[in-house]
Amino acid sequence: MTKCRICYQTKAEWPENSLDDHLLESHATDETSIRAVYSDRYERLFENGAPVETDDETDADSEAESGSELGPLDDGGFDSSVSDDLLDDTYGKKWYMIGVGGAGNNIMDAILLRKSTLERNNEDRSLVWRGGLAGYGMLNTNIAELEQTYYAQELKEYSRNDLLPNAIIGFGKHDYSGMGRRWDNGEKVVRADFEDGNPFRERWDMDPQHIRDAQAIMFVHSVTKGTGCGSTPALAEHVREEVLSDDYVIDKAILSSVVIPSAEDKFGGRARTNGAVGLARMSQTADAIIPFNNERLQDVQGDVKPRIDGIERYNPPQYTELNKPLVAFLEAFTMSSTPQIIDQDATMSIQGEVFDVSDSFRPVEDKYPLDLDREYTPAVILAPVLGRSRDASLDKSGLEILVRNALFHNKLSDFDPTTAWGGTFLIYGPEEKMESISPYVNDNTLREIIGGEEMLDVGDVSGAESIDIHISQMVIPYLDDVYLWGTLWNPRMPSLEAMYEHAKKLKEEGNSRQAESLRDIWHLVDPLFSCLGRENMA
Amino acid sequence: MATGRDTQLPLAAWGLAGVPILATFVQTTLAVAETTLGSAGLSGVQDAIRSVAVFDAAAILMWQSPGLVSGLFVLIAGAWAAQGVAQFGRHNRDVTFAAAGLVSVLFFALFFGVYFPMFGSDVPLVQVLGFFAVPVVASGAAVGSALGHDWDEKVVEEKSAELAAVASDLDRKREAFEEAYRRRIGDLDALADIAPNGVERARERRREFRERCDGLESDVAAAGRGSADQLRAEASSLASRVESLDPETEVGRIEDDLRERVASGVRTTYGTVQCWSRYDRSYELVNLPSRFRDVEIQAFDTAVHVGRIDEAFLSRLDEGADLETVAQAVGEVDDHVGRIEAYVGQYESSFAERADAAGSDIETVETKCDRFEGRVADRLSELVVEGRDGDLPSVRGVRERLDSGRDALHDCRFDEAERAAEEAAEDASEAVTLVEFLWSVVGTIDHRGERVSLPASVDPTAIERLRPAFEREYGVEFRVADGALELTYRERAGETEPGDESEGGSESGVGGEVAAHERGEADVRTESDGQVERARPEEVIDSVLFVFRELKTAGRATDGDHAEIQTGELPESVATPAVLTQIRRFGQRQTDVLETLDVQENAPPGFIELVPKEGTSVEAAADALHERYREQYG
Repeated sequence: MTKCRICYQTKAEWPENSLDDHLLESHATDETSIRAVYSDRYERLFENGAPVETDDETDADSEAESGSELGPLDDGGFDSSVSDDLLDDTYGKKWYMIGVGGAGNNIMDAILLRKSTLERNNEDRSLVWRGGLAGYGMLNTNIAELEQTYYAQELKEYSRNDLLPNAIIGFGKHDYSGMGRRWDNGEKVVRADFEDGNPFRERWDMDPQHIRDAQAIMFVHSVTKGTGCGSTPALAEHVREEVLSDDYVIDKAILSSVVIPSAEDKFGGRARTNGAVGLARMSQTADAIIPFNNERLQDVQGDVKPRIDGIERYNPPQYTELNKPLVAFLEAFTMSSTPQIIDQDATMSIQGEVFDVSDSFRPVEDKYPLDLDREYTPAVILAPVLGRSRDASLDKSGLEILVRNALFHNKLSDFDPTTAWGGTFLIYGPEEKMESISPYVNDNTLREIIGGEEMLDVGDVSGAESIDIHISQMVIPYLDDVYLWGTLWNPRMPSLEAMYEHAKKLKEEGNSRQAESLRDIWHLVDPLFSCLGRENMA
Repeated sequence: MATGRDTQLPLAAWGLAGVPILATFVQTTLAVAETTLGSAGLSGVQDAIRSVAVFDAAAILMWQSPGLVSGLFVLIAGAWAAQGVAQFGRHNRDVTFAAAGLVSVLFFALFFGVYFPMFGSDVPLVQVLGFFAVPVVASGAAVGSALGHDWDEKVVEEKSAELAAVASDLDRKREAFEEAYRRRIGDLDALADIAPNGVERARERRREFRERCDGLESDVAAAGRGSADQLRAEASSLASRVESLDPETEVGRIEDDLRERVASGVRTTYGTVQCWSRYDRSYELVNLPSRFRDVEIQAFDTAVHVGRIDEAFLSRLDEGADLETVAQAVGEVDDHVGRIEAYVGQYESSFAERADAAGSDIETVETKCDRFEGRVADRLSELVVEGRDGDLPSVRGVRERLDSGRDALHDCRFDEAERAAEEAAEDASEAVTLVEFLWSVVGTIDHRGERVSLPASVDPTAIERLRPAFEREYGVEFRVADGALELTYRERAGETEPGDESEGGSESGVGGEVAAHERGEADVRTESDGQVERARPEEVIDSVLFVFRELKTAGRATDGDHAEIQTGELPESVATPAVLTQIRRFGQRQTDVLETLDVQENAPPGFIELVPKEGTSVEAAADALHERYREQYG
C-alpha cells in the first residue's frame, strides 16, 4: 500500500485520492521535505518553489499509479498481488546490506547466493530475502577480490572497468590492490572519495533512496584487514552524514556484522590491533555490532547449515562452510520483521510477534551508565546465537535442552551469556511444533529457562537496571525443526578482551608508528571495551 | 476455355478445306447422276470449266472409273463433315484428328490414284500442279484446323472428372481403413502398458497409412491445379496409386503384428503380477486378502487368480478374441492391480513417513555423536550408535527395526510393519533427545552448571550407562534426582582430575581438599547462616576481577600510592565472604607487586586496601592482579 514517507501515513489514512494530491494538500508548505524525499515528483508538483495546479491528466496518472500500488484489494483479504507490491517496494524492508572488504564481499556473496538458491528452487523462504532486503552493494579496495564475486560475475556482469566506478573505494587514489592490512590507509581512501563528492550518489552501484528506504543499514565486514577494518567505520560515518536524512529525531539504525579474530587466533598482533581499532571505530557510528568468530562458526555449522548453491565457486574454500551459519543467522534476523512471510493460515496467537531492527538494540541504550568522561556511547554488542532442536515434540525439558545447546554450544562468537545485559530471542518453527511450544513462551517458561542462573542469570544484578529478555515467536511453515535465534547484549567476550589487551599493551609499550597511531585514537577505543560485561551496566 | 477468336481460325481452315471437297463432291455427284451443268441450264458454266484443260482432263479421267471417284468423294466429304461435327459440335479431339486424317488420305489417294495420268498428258504443267495443289491445301486446312483447335478445356474437364473419382475412391478407402482399424484393433491405450512397442508400431503403421492417404490427397489436389498436360500425365498414375491401397489387408497386418506383441506382453506383464514399492522391492500379493488375490475379468466373463492372469489372456488370444476385448480385460486387470497398489500404498506411505522420520533422526544422532570427545564419544558410539546395550534406543536398533518393518511391509504384514516403524521412530526420536540432552550436559559442564532437567523420554538407565565415561572425561559426577541430572564436580571435593582413570572419588575427597588447601589454590569455604558455602576461584572470577578493577579506579583518586574501597560500594553479589576470602588469599601470593592487600576481618561489611610495592603504581599492581587471576582461573 502506498505510504507517505514524510508523514508515514498510508493511503487509507489520507483524505486525498493520490500521493501527488496528498503531497500538495498536506505537505505543500514543507517543500524541502518533498524535494528531499520525493525528488522524482518534486519537479512535477512544484514550479519555482510553489505548488503547481494539478490537471486532470496528472490526477489520472496518479490514480493509475496508486491503483497499481494498491493492487486488487476489493476482495478484502490478503492478496498475493499486494504481497508482491510490498515485496518489490524497497520501502520498509529490513536491511540495506553493504559488504565491505574481502570478507564482507564473500559474506555478501553468500547471502546473495542463498537468496538465489531459494528463488531458483521456488522455496517459500525466498520471501525472507525478497521481503527483507531493500538493496545491497559491494565495496572493496581490491579489484581482484571484487572480480571474483558472484555479485560481479553473475548478478551485475561487471567487467573490471565497470567495477572501478561502481564498487571500488578510492577510485583514482590507489592501485586497487588492497590496503595491506593498514586500517589507517583504508580510512584515508574513503575520506578521499568523499572529498571529491558523494560516491553513493555519483558513482557506487547503490541507490541512496533505497538506502534511506530500508529500516536499517547493515555493514558486513571483518576487522582483521585494512579495508574492512579501516574503511567500514568511515563509510558508516558518511552514510550517516551524507546519505541518511539528518532531519530525523531518531537516526536510522546502522548495524555491523563483523567477523573478529578469536582469542586464540594465530593471525598475530596486527589482526588483534585492527580488530580493536575497527570495532571501536565502528561502535562510534553504528548502533549495534554483531560479532562473529570463525572458530565458533566452525563449531555450529553442523547444526545450522543452510543450502547455498554455488558458494564453492565464489567463496574461498576455507570460508564456504563458515559463512553458512552466518547467513542462517542473518536470514533469521531478517525474517524476524518480514510479516509478508508469515503463514496467513496459522493461528494469530503464535504468528504475530515480529520485531523491528531497533527492537533488538534500542532497549540496551538506556542501560549504559551515565559517564560524562566517555567520548561517545558505543554501539551495542549483539552476541549471536542460533540453536536448533530436532526433537519431534518439545516440552519444557526439550526447550531447556534447546536453550542450553544454543547458549552453550551454538554461540556464533565467543562470549559468556551470564554477563550479558539481556537479550532478544526469536523462537520459530513449523506450526505443529510451535503449537506445543507456544504455551511455554506465553507463560514465561521459556523466559525463565533463558534467564536461569546458568544462562543469562537475571538475578545477578548489582544496580537498579534489570536484565531484560525479549522473546518473540513465529510460525515458519516450511521448516522441519525449531530454531532459537538470539542476540545477547554486551556480554563479556574473551576474544574482544584479548584484542583490547593486545592493543592496550601495544599502546602502552610500543614504540612503533602503529603504536603511535593507536595512542592517537585510544580515547575512541576505550569506551567500547569498558562497556562489556554486566558489571559495566548502569 | 477456348475463346471465340480461338475457334474462328480452325473453323475457317476447316471451311477452306471444305471448298474443294464440296465443289468436287457436288460436281462428281452431278456427273454420276448423269446430270450435267448443261442439262441444268448451266451449259455456259460447264463450258467455261471444260475450257480449262486440267478440268477437262480430270473429267475424262473421272469417267474412266466413275464409281471409284464418286465413292472417294463421298467418303472425303463424309470425313470432312465428320471432322466438322466432331471438332466443333462434339469437341472430340480423337475423332476430329481421325476424320482430318481420313480426309487427307482419301484426297491424296484420289488424286494420285485417279488423276496421276495428268502428268505426261498435254495439260499444261502449271495447271496440273495447280490441280494437285487442291488436295494439299484441303488436307492441310483440315489437319491444320484440327491442330489449331483448343482442346485443353475438354481435357481438363475429362481429367478433373477422373481425379474426382480418384479422390472419392481415396476417401472411401481411408474410411474403410479407419472402420476396419476401429473394428479390429480399437483403442490401444489399454494395451499400451503391456505391449508398448506393439501399440507404438500399430499407431505408427496407422499413421503411415494416413500419411499415404494424405499424400495422395494432396497429390490429387495438386494435379487438379495443374495444366491439361499434367492432368493427362498424372491422372492415370494417381488412379493406379489409389487402386493399390488395400485397407483391409493393411489393418490385418497391423492386427497380426499387434496380437503377437500383446501375447508377448501378457506373458511378461502378467506372468507374475507384481506391485513394486518405493524401496524397489515387490510385495507378496498372495498374502493379501482374497478380494485382492482373485481378479474378476468381465471381458472374459471369468475370475482368475492373480498368479494365472497370463494363462487366461493367452488362451483368449489363441482363441482369436478381438483386441478390443483383450484391451478391456487388460484395463480391468490394471484397475485391479491399481486397487492393490492403492491398498498397499496407503500402508507403504504410512510406513515410509515414519521410517523417513526415523532415518532422518538417526542421521542426526550419528552426526551429533561425532561432536562428543574422548571417552564420552566412544561410550556414546557404543551405546547409541552401535547399540551394544539392547535396552537403549540406538541407531543400529532403529535400522534393524526398520529393516524388519520393511520385510513385514513387503510380506503384506502391514500391522507388524506399522508397529516396527512406530517403534523405530520412537526409538530414533528418543535417541535424538538423548544425544541433544547429553550435548546440553556437555555445554552445562563447560559452564560449570549443576543441574539439567531430564527430559521424560530420556531413560535414566542411559544416564547410568554413560556416567562413568562422563566422570572420567569431565571429572563430574552424575546423579538423577527429582527429574533432573545433578552434576557434582570432583575438583570441588579435591577428587580426581578430569581424565583420571581412578574411581571411588568420594573416598579421596577429604584428603584431596586438604591437599588443595596446602597448595594455596583451594576452594574457598565459608559459613553463612549456618550453611557451608563453597566457591572455587574460577567460580568467583568475575567478582574478583571486578574488585581489582574497582581498586584500580580507586587508586586514581589517591595519587597512586594506595587504593581503598568499602565493600558497601560493591554490588552485593560481589562483596560476598567467598569473594573477599579469595581476594585475600590471592593477594597474599602476589608479593612482587603488592606490599599488602588487606581485607578487613569479617568483611563484609568492611574495607579492602591495596598498597603496591615500592616503585609500582596502584594501576599497574591492579592490572597485574587482574591479568594473573584471569590467566590462572579464566
